[in-house]
Amino acid sequence: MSIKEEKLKEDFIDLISHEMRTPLTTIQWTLEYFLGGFTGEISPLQRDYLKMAEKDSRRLGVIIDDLIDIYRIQSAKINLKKEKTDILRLINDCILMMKGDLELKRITVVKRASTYLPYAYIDQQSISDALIKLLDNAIKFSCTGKEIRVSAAAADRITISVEDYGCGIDPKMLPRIFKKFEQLTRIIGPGRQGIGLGLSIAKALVELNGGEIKIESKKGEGTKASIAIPLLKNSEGGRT
Amino acid sequence: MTKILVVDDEPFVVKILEDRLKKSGLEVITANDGEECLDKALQRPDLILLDFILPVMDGSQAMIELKRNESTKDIPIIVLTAMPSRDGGKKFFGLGAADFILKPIKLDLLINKIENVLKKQEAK
Repeated sequence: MSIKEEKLKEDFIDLISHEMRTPLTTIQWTLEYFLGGFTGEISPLQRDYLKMAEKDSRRLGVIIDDLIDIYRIQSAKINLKKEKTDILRLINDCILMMKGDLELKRITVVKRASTYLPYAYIDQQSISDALIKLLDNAIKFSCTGKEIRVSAAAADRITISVEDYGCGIDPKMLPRIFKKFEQLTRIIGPGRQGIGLGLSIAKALVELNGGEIKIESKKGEGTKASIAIPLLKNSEGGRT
Repeated sequence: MTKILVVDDEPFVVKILEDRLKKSGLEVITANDGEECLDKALQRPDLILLDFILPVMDGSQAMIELKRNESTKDIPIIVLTAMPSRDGGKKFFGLGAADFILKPIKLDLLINKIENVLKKQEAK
């Protein structure tokens, strides 16, 4: 493909993305506005319906993002903007983004972090995207009213872990879960949703940052997904 | 009262942002294209929430003009766009954006980001 053709293809993908995201934004904002009670009180039944619509609109957003991410990763089009990053802040932002899904399933997030956490040196957008995918899976596979633990610890790298107490994954199936287009539903069982791109993308995004992703799971007990990302070195302005 | 200039060519985006920001106790003025943004910016908002794909004058040109003008150059700009950035927002930051947000974003998180930028601006 010539450079001109490649550019046209990229512009087309951006345009499609823009055209899909714009109406999705107004749909999500409208639902959030109603759910926030800004238009007046809503009945419990109305709230349930609105929350379901909000959940599905977010799911649609995830699918759009997944397809675009896959395209970009495959084309190595992601240009990382690595910078000094406060990991606790990044975690808090990601959890806030999942607020609607957490509330819908009445899931509590318990955060744990080392008292002293050095800065990471990462591309914030891609690591946020990866962490959101891990949180999304943890919520999806947790039962209503359960807890999710999010922890951050530092050694030679910073490790962020997302732990759920859901249905877990058969250890024999674990090697398959990062395979692109693998339906997680086929591994875990029926009744779940998603197109199975999330973990493949999370892995690619973390690896693009020089990190690693790991999943540990026990069937019937839960799953712990961890990403290890590089620290900010002193030469890059890190804490001493 | 803190004044926010919302610039977007989608009338519904402008309306819902205006309503939601007002509910958070902010004063809101609006514009639908880049040229109108430059005019309204002369009312000295505390922050500009700027879409990038705009008619008449696009967001990129509007940012250049805002940063060129002595009376508007210090107003922080958050770029809020549905057009993905292939360089992690580098282009927007290069033009002087204080932050870059890809739509859709939760309104609560957007307000959080606006507050953060305003706090940073105050600390300057």
